[in-house]
Amino acid sequence: MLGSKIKKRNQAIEREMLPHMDSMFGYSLYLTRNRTEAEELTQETMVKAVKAFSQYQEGTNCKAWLFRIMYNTFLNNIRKKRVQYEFEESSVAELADREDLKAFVRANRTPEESFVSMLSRTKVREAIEKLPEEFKSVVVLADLEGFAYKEIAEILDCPIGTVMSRLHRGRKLLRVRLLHWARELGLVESASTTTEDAPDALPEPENVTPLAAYRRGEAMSNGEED
Amino acid sequence: MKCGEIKRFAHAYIDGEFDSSERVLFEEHLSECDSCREDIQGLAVFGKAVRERAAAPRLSADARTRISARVHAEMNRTSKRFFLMPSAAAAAVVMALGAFFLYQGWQAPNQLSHIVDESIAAHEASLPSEVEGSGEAIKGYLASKEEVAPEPPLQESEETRLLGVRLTRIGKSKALLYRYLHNGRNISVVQLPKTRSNNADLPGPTSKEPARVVFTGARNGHAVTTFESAHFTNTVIGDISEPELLKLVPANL
Repeated sequence: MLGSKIKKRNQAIEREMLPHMDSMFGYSLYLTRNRTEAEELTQETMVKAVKAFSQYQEGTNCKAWLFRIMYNTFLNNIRKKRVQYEFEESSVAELADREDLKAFVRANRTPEESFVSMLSRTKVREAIEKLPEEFKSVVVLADLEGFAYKEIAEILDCPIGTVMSRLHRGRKLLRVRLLHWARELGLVESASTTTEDAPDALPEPENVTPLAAYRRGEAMSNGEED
Repeated sequence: MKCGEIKRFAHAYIDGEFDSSERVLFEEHLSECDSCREDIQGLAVFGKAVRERAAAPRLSADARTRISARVHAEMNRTSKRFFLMPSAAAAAVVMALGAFFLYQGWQAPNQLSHIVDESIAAHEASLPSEVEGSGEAIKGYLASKEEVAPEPPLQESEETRLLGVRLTRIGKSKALLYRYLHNGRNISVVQLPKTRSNNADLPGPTSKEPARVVFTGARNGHAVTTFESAHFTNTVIGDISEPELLKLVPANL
């Protein structure tokens, strides 16, 4: 009854696309931070992928192809909706590179697994969700979805070198934040060494210094209140 | 390798991006340098701990059904040949729904169940509209169409926009398929002129009476509501919640 070509295509869609629905939802949840929007983004991506399925080459990585469509759809939606998702400024990441934070981390040489596993799942997810978008995507794609750098570069349409540097900084930022929260919650003992000003220098994710203020130098003096 | 290089490529190393010869060079250094080894171990353990705690929740069963239905509708829509064989497709849909309704013990009259089934099939088929555009253009098209000029069944608002309309069939009767966009979601309404045969068991209200809802429920992953107006039976199908869908039914017609 069905044309065999169409039947084959539909079978390929069932076999190669549909199993990734949960992973796609997981990534879209990190992107949109909202369940309903994440469901919509997953559906929109799936429908687009069905329409464009002829462009997919069987045998290549279907998951990476779907994630690329999803990421582009997400970016387009932001443009269309005129930024409904509030991102943190990249300046947060710049802060992570500062020397005092390095000192802070060094002074807190806590076994990683112990402080991360002491934090709730919600808290760990929240820390990732609140990473600036450019870092969040690489962290989620590499750490949670297990994509290779080359695939991440294709999904995000950027050079591999950029993937590497973003991943480097994204993980560092994530680690600093989680450690900071763990300290605040009293899960990790305060550093005994010379880092008095470090915690205050770390902005709370909810209360991020706007890039403009950062450039004006308003937030640059160490240890000031946010 | 030197410490600086190790630091630079630490992430690539733990992510398994190196080939075996590069890995050997890397590990040579690690075996000699406590500080680098500690850093690398810290990174690896941190990554593992995050992975274990940050896995995203899975899709809810509802959402999975809805997305899956939408994907299948898209597959069917793009399988043009599939739709040139309406009897097979319709039979499959009717059989699937029939089994489902039997299982649910749904007691609606046959006529109504038939209208609902076929309306869902029309919604899922997502065929393009014949007339697209503003409500006015569509009203013009409708006025030229039938003896009793049909009216768009749902009130337009900022949240609810009429996108287009096409002719369709429910059994042997001509019907109209309206496409709306409600808060970004697609809503279809199949509007069927009442005839003696299809309103025999569903006596409709007069034009002054409010719309009467004759069926509401979740079917095949969609929320479905059928309401009667003076001259038409309207079946509203949407991928939104039932209460939200019911709110779209005009209070008065």
